[in-house]
Amino acid sequence: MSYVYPGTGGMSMHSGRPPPPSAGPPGHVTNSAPPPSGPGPGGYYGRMPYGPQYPLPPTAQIQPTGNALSSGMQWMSIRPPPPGGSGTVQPPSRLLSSSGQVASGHALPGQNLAGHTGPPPPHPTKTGLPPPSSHGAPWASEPPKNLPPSSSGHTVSGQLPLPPPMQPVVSYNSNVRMPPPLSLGQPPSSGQPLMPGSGQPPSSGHVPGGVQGPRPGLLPTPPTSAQGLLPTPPRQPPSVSGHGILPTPPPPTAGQGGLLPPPARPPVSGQGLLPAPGQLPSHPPMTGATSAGRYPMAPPPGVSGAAVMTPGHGLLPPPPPTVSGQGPPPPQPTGIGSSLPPPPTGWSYRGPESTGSRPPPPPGSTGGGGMMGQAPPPPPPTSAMAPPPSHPHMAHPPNPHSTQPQKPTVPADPELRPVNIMEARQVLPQTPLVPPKISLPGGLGVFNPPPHIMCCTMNAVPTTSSLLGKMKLPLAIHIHPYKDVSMHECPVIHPSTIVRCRVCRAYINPFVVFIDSRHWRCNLCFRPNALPEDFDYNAQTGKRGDRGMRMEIKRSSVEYIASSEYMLRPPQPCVYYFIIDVSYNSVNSGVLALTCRCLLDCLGRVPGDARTLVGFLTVDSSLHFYNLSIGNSQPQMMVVSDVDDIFIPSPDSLLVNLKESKDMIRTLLEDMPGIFAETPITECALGAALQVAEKLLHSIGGRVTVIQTCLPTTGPGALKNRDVNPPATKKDTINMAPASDFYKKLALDLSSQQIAVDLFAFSSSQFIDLSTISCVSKFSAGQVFYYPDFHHSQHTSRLRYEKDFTRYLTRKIGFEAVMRIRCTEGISLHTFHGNFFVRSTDLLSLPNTNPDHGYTISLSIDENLKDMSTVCCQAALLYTSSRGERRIRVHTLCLPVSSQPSVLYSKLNVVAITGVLANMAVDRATSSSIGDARDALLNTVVDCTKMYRSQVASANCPPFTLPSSLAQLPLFVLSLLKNPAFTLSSRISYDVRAQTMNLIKSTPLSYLMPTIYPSLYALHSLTEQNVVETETGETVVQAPLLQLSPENTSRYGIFLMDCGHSMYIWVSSDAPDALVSKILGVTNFEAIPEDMTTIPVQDNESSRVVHMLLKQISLSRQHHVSLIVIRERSQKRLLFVERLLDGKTDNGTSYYEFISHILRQLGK
Amino acid sequence: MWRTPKMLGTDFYVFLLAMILAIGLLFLMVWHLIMLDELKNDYRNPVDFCQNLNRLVLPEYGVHLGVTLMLLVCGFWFTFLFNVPLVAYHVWRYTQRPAMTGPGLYDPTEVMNRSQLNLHTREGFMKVGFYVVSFLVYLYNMMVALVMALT
Repeated sequence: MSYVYPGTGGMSMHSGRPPPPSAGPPGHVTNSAPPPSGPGPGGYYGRMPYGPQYPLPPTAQIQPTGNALSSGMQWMSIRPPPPGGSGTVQPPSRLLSSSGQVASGHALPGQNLAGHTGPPPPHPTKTGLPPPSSHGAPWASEPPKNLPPSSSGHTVSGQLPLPPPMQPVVSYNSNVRMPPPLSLGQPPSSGQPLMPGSGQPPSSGHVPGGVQGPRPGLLPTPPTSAQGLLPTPPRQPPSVSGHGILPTPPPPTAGQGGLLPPPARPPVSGQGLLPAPGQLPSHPPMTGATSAGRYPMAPPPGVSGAAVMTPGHGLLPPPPPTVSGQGPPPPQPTGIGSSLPPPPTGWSYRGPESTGSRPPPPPGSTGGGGMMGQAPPPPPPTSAMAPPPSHPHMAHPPNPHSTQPQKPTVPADPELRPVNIMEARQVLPQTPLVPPKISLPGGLGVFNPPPHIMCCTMNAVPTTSSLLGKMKLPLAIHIHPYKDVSMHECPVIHPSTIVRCRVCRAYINPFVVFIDSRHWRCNLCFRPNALPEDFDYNAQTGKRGDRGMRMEIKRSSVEYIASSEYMLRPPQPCVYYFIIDVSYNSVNSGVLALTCRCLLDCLGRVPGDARTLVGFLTVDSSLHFYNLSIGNSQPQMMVVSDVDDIFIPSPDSLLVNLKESKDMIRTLLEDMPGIFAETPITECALGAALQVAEKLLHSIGGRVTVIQTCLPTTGPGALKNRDVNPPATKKDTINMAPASDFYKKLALDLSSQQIAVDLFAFSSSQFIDLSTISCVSKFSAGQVFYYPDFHHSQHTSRLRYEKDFTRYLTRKIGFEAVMRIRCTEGISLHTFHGNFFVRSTDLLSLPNTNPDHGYTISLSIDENLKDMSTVCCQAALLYTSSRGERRIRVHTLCLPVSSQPSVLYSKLNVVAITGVLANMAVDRATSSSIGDARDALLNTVVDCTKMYRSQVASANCPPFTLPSSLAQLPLFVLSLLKNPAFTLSSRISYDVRAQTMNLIKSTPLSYLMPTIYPSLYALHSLTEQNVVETETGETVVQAPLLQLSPENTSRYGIFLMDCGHSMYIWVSSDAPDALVSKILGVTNFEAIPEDMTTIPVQDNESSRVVHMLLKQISLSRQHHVSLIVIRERSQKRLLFVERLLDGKTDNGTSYYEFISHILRQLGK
Repeated sequence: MWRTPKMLGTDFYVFLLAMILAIGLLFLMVWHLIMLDELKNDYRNPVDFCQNLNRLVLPEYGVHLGVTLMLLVCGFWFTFLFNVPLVAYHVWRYTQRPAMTGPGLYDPTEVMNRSQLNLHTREGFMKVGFYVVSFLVYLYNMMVALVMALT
């Protein structure tokens, strides 16, 4: 087929020069056009109205015939050319077949492809893009050069912070002198030089304070003979008082250091010393040969006896002197190592309150005191900034002294304190909930990533799947892999070789075991591996044998700069393609204008290098392409109205270099709102536009941004306004399944070509079938934003969109990403939740990755894990940064294994469990119905309560008893039932419900939780006393959390509710005027304006503290948090009142009715 | 001394055909299981997997339904009733499939879920067992028909 691109405009497109428009009579040109031929677009051409258009009048202005638009594409300049140019310019009026003038000069009706001369473009049906090389700078010549200097093999970029200093003094208490380790035939000395501090003679007393132990487990072999030295394991009464009557601790004669052979290995002797009741059978002492490389002897964390021993591997910060597993976890042992920032977790997880009655150990009592298992004093209440690991503010804490003794299986552990849900008045602690400490042998827990990056529902993993099944709770991990973190949290390194296991390809991490100086044992597959030659070479100090700066074994989160072997193809340029809906809705609601303005503002801040490519496509019932190549004097628009059989005109000029064509892009964005200002078209061909994007980007990949304001009703992927609301009597049969799989299939195609689609959906009260069209983002790893009832006149929603879109345009982005999750053998990945495509059992395909996405992965236990003491999960995100570097971000989480239900129940992370339950309920609602999802949520509470009673709780406890670690579960499940995703309230539109479900799936847990259960603070009671300083020197406001019950807010006062994306300040009608004026800056309650969205900064104590709190909340999120002041009796009061989830709302029962209902279910 | 049978009855041919088809279905299911195993072990992409298997779902159901109807028409009540539960299961299974434009059961976005994989594997094994049993039943019936014709 031959293409003729008549008109000089066509010339311009290809020649790259501004053409002299109307260089000749158009008629002449068109007459020379041979009739189109060829099968593909033949139909298209066949429809073109050649007839009426020939011969064209010599004037450039063309009055289109009725089908002028449908005839095909026309290039038109959307802005008048400079004076002196041709008179063929089109005013930026809308191209309408009825009234608008079709552009002339550049575009003639009947000309299929104005704008091309020279070589014909590829066949339209298969509009191939030019090879990627035509799109910008040669990327191949852009190796990761801008890296930190890596002269020798291994360089740590930047000033990487040293790991937290180790605890200087350790109270290792054991009477057992451990023999030198049998490190697999290697003399211990061979491994010694690697370990700083290992030069210490074994008898040198405590591990010296200056020990910079690189990592534990350097010498994993347990001293087999230790068992022989151990006295008969005495049964340790688990009760609190039992601590006083522990078998007399063997005199710490041997010298503490003697207990710690340089590479001290942890719990072996401890286990023999004081086994917890029932512990030995499940953790038989193992001999060195069988257990080398693991932590075979690691006792289940928290079991009282088990922890008596050495907390560290000798080189780690040892736990506070209270090693007995009863000690309060984080509080610094007085006088011992108090200068150490992060206290080791040790094995202690006793909360402060239960230890409060016990006297603190003498500061210097390193040996005996610790041996006695005495807990140090609880942290002073005022220093509670770093929230204590347990829930110290539980309303009616049962007295551990009274509950523990009768139950030998329950160790004296506050986290396992049974809570009678029916009587607990305040189940929510006043401080933010934090997950229980991960108690790893050897204090390895400090290496774990912070919970907001990676956390597990169970901080102690059951050994068998039957044990897990008996708990009726999900085992899952939440990952926020690409979070914006500081260099401190995730150092970027560029080693010469990335050390990985040769079998399972896991990355080396702090939890591996070094067999000797040359080998390490993978902690996922347990196979030995050789270390590279230069692993011990420290480029900064120039010394060998110093692993201290090896970040990959010091941090569980690291980012590698990878070499070319991690690339399938050279890094491609960043490509941003914008598909903007320009139908009536979009123009009328102001979306188009706002979008263009934000784009204009952010053009310079879009991530990317000099090769960055940008393209625009506007769409209503037809598609409008824009030629922005720098050869033109102004942007040219081309309209394709045949949306059923898409082809792309001049594909090589639709994506332009952002830097080079910036002026052109500005012109386009400035003019675009005007061009479509009076459009009457209400249809939108979204499917066709996405197909265009696929064809255009298929060889490069990239990001497609869709701004959508109406239901796509024409072209491929057209949807009907289906009736999604079942009759009122059958509300629970709402099914959230998509109506068609067009968008899903499209997303899979896009995903395979490394294209991701982000969707900004707007609606003004009409249905846009978000559950269907969001599939295009869900499976291509894009993000979905939804703005219901959007209109530019509403300040709040407008501001939210502006902030979101600005952040979206300027945030980090990774291209061509994949995330692989590896787990210790025996654990497998079960189900994935989030936005991605699962390409194989452990590989998520993420065409783009962004910092605002989190993933949830359910795990299953395939094999019995009793032979291992820890299990690990490693998430490795491989991506191309916007600067063309291939990078790998690795997060490793290590968890202890336990077979004891009491330990398992004490280590549950109720927030993570709630997140997983929400994800599972969304799946249920999609595959079945809302009613099923609600039932499943309710049944989880019932089942796990029953299971807890049958496994751990005593027979005479009240029927509705949960461990204190789960005490909030009924509350959170109730809030899920009232969540817009799962409520049966008819006020929730289908699209809002669909979007809430999208958010549950894709939001990282730390941002999701406030949307499920908002935080409520009483602003009127905040004073300077709430401003405290943390250990790290930050000044933070610690406001007590209130439960969301109406009685908490019925008093006079001003409250702040933090709902994740928005904050509400609620002013009660009884609030005293002085308070109102102090905090809000208005004279009295009546003077509060209806749409108040900011509060002024004033010079008084309350105002300062309130502003500090607001700022603190905003800074804790990556996204924009809006603020609305609502006074009682305002029209917006529902925003606040319906989130008082404990009370009776119109979409659900009150908390007390709910737990009564569960109690009845339990009785059945 | 064997007498040459004058004519084998229709039932012989019916069961012969059913037997051959059962063998075909059996091999189909075995191949199905192999595909699932490859998917689990990372040798196969879920999109390919679904494309391959979705094409074969309706033919398999059709062949099985055809055999069942053939048995019904020929009046073999026992073997017909033996097959009815599987026909019912097929119908139910197909009504539960996710929203798809093409034929088939498998959705590439969900097939990698472990619960789905386990479900498909279990289903595959049970159907293999069913087809083996039905093969034996048809074989027995065919032999009976042969013997009856011979004697």
